[in-house]
Amino acid sequence: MPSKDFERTVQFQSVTTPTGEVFSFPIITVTLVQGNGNRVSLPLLFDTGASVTSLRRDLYTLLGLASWDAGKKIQSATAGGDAPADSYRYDGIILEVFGKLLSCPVHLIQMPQNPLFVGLLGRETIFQEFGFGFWESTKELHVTSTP
Amino acid sequence: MKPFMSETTSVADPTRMKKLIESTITSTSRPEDVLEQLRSCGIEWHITERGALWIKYWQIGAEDFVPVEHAAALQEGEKMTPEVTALEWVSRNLDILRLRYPGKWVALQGSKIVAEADDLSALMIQVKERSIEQPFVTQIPAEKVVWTTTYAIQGL
Repeated sequence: MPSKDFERTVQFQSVTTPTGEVFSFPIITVTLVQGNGNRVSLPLLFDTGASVTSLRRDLYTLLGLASWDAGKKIQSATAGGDAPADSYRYDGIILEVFGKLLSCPVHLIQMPQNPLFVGLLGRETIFQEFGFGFWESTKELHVTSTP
Repeated sequence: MKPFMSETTSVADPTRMKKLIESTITSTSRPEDVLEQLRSCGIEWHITERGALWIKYWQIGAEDFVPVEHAAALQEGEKMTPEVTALEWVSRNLDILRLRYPGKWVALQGSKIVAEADDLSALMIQVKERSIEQPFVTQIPAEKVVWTTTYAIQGL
């Protein structure tokens, strides 16, 4: 088996609820490079179950769109949903992930509000640029940029 | 490459740290390796347009400044160190944020909220008007947050 080396470690983010429960999430802060060159940092949940990186639909303004549903309509199965949800695909979105500038597809989709992330970091295009090691016991995500 | 920071090296000793970094830079190390070592040691760095390497370090201002039991209280909330990322700060201060900014979109730089608005468009207008560079953007939910998820179909 080839050795897998990682040069970066992302510590999970934890939140403690008022009842004392602690939840931890692997969250990656990516940079969205807008059409005008401005940059915005967005926290995304690392999600191997997401086929494509998906953002909350109300982020359409950051993509320079007039509405969230202007792209190619896609139906996606969702966690907890009893029917596929509509999402809209946009190609050629520029994201900087772990220092790499990537042109990738992004889906806009309706998703619950969460203060720690505004979308899901999904697989298409992005995951093949990296190697990941998931260490739940230590709440760490290990990353290599040279898989 | 030999690591330039051993476990016994004091990061709080700037003179020693600078010498170690200089000796590493003059060796055969690639700049990327030096920067990666700095990162792994938790040392912030910055490359200037002219190609100089800047590093950030802390210096002890006063030993026993406050009693230990008082230190924890002072470390909370907005008195966190500037090295705390926006995401870390949001996760640690969520209860306060939900009281102050329910339903609001917020823009942060480090541990400071630099703009807030009812919707994202209004927030980004503020960001542009104030020339805020690369804000961290999120929304503070007004409703109760559901923290667990699963992949399932309801009602079968």
